[in-house]
Amino acid sequence: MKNLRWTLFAAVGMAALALTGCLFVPAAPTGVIEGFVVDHGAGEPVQGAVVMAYPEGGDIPLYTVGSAYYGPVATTDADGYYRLIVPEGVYTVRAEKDGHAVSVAHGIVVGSTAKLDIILKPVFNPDWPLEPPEVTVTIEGQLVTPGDEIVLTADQLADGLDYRVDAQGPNDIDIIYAALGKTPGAGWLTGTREYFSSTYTTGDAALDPALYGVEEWTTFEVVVYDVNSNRTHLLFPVYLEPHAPPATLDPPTELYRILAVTLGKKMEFYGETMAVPSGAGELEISAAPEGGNLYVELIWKPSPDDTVSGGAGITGYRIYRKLAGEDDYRLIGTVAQGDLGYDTDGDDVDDAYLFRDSSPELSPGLEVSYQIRAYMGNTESAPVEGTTTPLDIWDVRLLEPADGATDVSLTPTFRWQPTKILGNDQYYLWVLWDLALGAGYYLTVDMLNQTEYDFAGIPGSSFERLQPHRVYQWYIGVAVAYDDFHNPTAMSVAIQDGWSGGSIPVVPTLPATDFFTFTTGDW
Amino acid sequence: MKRKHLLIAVSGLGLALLLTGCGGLLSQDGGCPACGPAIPAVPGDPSARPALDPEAIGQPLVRGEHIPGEIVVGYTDEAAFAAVLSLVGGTVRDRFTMGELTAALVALPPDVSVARAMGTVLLQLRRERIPGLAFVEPNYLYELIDPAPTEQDAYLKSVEPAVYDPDADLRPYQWGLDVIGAEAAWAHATGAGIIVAVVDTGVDGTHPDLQGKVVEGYDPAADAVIPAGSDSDFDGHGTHVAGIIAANDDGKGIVGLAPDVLIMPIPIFQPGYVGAFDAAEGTIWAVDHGAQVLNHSWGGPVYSQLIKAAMDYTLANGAIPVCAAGNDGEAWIHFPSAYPGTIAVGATTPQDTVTDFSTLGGWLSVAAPGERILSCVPTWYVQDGTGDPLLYAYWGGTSMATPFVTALAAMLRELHPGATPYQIQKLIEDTATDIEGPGFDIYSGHGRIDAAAAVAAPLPADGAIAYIYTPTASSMDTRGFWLPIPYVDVVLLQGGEVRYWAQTDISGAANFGFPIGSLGAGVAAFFGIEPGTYEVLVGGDDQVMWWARTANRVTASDTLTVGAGDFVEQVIPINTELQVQIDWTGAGDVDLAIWEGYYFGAISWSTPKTGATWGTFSGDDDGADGDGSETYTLNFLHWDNDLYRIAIDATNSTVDTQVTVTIIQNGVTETYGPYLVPAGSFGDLGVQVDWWDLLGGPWVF
Repeated sequence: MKNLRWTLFAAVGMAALALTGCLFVPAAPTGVIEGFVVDHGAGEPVQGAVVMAYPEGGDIPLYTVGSAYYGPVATTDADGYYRLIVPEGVYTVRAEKDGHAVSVAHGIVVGSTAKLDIILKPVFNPDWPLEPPEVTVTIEGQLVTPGDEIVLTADQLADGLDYRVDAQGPNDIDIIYAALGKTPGAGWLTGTREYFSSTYTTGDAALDPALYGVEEWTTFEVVVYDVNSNRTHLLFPVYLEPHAPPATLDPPTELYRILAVTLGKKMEFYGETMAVPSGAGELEISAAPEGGNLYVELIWKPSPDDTVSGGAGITGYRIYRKLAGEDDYRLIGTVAQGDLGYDTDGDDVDDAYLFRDSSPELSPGLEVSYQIRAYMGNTESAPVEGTTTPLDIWDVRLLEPADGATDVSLTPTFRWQPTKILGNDQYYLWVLWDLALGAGYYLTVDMLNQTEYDFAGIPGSSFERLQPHRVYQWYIGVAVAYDDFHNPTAMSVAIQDGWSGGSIPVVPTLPATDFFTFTTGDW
Repeated sequence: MKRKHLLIAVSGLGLALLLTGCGGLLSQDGGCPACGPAIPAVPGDPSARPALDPEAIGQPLVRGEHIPGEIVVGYTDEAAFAAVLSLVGGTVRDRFTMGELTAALVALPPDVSVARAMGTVLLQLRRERIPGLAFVEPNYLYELIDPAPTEQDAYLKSVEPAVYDPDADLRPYQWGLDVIGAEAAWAHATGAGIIVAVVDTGVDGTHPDLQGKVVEGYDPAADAVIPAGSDSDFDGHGTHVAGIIAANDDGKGIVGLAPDVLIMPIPIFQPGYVGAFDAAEGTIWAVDHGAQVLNHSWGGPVYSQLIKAAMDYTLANGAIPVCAAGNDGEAWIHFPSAYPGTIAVGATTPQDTVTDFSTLGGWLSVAAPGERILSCVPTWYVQDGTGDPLLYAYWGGTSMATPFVTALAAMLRELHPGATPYQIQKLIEDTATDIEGPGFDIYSGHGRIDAAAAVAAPLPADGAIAYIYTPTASSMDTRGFWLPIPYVDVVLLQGGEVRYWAQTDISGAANFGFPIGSLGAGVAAFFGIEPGTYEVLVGGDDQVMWWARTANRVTASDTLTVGAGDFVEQVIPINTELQVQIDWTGAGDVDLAIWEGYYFGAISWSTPKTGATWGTFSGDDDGADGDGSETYTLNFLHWDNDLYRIAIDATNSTVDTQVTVTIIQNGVTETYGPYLVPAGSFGDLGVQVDWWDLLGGPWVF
């Protein structure tokens, strides 16, 4: 069944399903699988993807409500959102769309509601097979089935969590990721995870649970990509014996930064969060997704109980999130004690913790609040808290001198225009190249809240004035909107074309849309 | 990304400090503390001149990362090299010849920096030419173009896990061959009889898919010949490139696009970087030992005269340089791919889009498959998790796209043994499948290569060679010759896009063993350019004079038209006429005063009322009509120690005036003021204009 082309089903609808002859009609379902399908490569929600659930190793379930037939097949909407209604059980979810590779997730445990966001990449080569890798996993020497609950004793974990992943398929395998308590992906957002890029097997490997900061029920997750960008994701509920809880814990000493970062030219839904029910009831598991163009960066300083601070020790920190309109904070991730990721005082030694949340549920204009608590066993500290409202995406278009303009003044006025005014401040880095002088000659000027620049020459520089009859290129090399430039909690990067201007955290390169070239006139 | 900021070092920040730090210009708010009725005293004693700092003068010519303690000297006359050695000291570490040009690698004495050595030579060049000297430059570093990252930490290196049997047929995984029509092309050509040099990290000649394919090569760093069939690869990059070109067509493993060519390994890289000297030496060895196509999957942002000469030598000998465009993902100049006459290659996906890492530019030639390309890795690569030999891996980058074009060039050379490199390039471009923007575009050049179409098409007409000379137009050095202006940029544009770019060398007399230039002036050579009409722009710092001043930068433009097979020499003179003009408002009789030959004490201030010795005044304007203008022009022979000092003589004026001073030099205009000049004053403007001067002006007193 896994090899069926679900796009076919989508095309012919329920009648085709009825003809397969492998239906069953259970009682009205009680469970839901829902989430977003996102396009990792382009960073956009995937609209019109067909998402389907079927029991592990089984066939497509159909059921009736009243006189209507329902099946766990859905098509994603403009936000990439899908919702499948299914009976309780363990499912495989498969997503497909023309022009994309195939993505499957095994071991989705449905109690009441399971959340599953799916990465569905553009296909690399349409002429190569659209088959997700077949993956087998062993944990502590035992072949395991996705969705099966696995209890690990302290003795078993003494030398780390032993595992082995083997993958195969019609395409060669590209990457194998593994992690505990999160869906592993690119390190920029995922943080700690295991990564194998030159093999179809991890061989006999082990990970250190202490690096993941999880206890009790969590998940062991594996993600495999093949060279055609087909993806297989496997989830295994695992139980790790908790540490003995201390009586009390002090909270982190400071929430050093909360910053919502929007990266332009792409849509806001991106990445992957995950919630699965477990043997201990529904568990919202930690989720640091792959890739992202809207994420919230949280940086905090250790609790006094953290061994980093000389304390007796904790398991780690739990990150909770509440979106506007929600009643309660939900656990969205954990960071292990000692897994420092940020240097607040510039001494090249990390002294603070870093977590990036890029859930597709984050949205421009939607206020989001976070709490971070130290924890060990079932003891949690009071939280440190922060709130931000992410900014929308925007872009900058150049106006004049126009592209290809000739006879341009030697002291021209440069004008550009934001496609949207976001936040209170817009920062621009204006760039001018003298093309006749090759790579060495350019001029940059920093500007805040300014959309034109009267170029009168920079005395003493190589650009005392423009030269006659010369070709110049100009563009905006950096454009960032801030809610408050001087004390930002949200920023939206429209352009970051490789320049190190402004107070911008490291972000991927976002090339400018416009590069204008003009030729000057006479003296 | 920080590269961009490294390069800003060439701007004139030093000058900015001078202008802002001294404050001696006539103040614009009416005060004139330095002014007085008396003519200011000037230092007539040459020993009172400020000391020159060769380090500061040479610094602007150090244009990128380089090997410390080394310079490269190019020359055609041993006496010229001896002159440079005597100036900078040091010892000869290595040298090789390319035609009449010799390149020497000089290890500098411990107390002489690269910048100091460059400045020392430049100072001598300001005094007089060194006949037979072609260039002096740092030993620039170039990078291997590594496989491009797809994610923060995930490289496109991955492996072929499905098949460990070396007898398995991996052709189905080679999407690049499908896209460009390899099988159809093989009916016409397979590269038989052609030697291709892989100028890279070495090649593992023991790899099952390369056995019998790897001929004798050369390691320029060790000056050692590499035996045929051996493993000279320290990294894998060169083996991967070689497999794409030439892997055996035996139904096992992969197959190269030109499976019958022979591979000549030229390992120019030490781990990580290569010096320009070794890269050039290896290139010349390959050309001299029979390589007809050269694969250069490496590069950097710095223009090297030496690498340019090596590419010109390649072209002049009928060999074809194929160069990776770079993995910058933006419009960023990159060498050697941006030198004229080389085939610059971008990278595409199976869906015929340009990869997001492929470098863009008007100098691109074509694009070729460059992502998830399956090819050979050395036999000593071991797979994670299994310990098995890896043998094959998927890598991506313009490094992987380039060997497809190299292989196609070899096939075309087999079909057209007498074709020029330009004709082969043009054939590849003309038959490419147009992708991205219609026609030529800066993303894919002329499009994605189509091997099947290229081998079936007729040979196009030849291209052209152009030499652009940029001498000074109106001045002579102390021997009465035109003075070449070295190290200035000459670009050829069409439709506002930079198509070709070259720099002038020092002497212009160097003929590199190629078509000999007839004019002894700074020359920029363009080999293998497309026939047509170009706008030519000349710009740069006048290194013969002083670098960090707008007025000492040159600028000129012209039109160049070349036809098929032409060799055109064109002179674009740079107007170096010095002109000083004052314009004033106020009915005062103000005079422009020039101290001609500032350091020759016998010469005093000249004005239109006294007449000039070395130049010409436009005539005396008494300002009676309410404003005035006077001009001084210096347009012929000058002494090489002259310095011209400018003042405003208001001793004959009975009213205050507002005076603006304009200086025009090298086609660049500078304006100073307006200054409020009190009646009766004599204001030394403190502006000095270097003119064949050895000093590090301009100064402000």
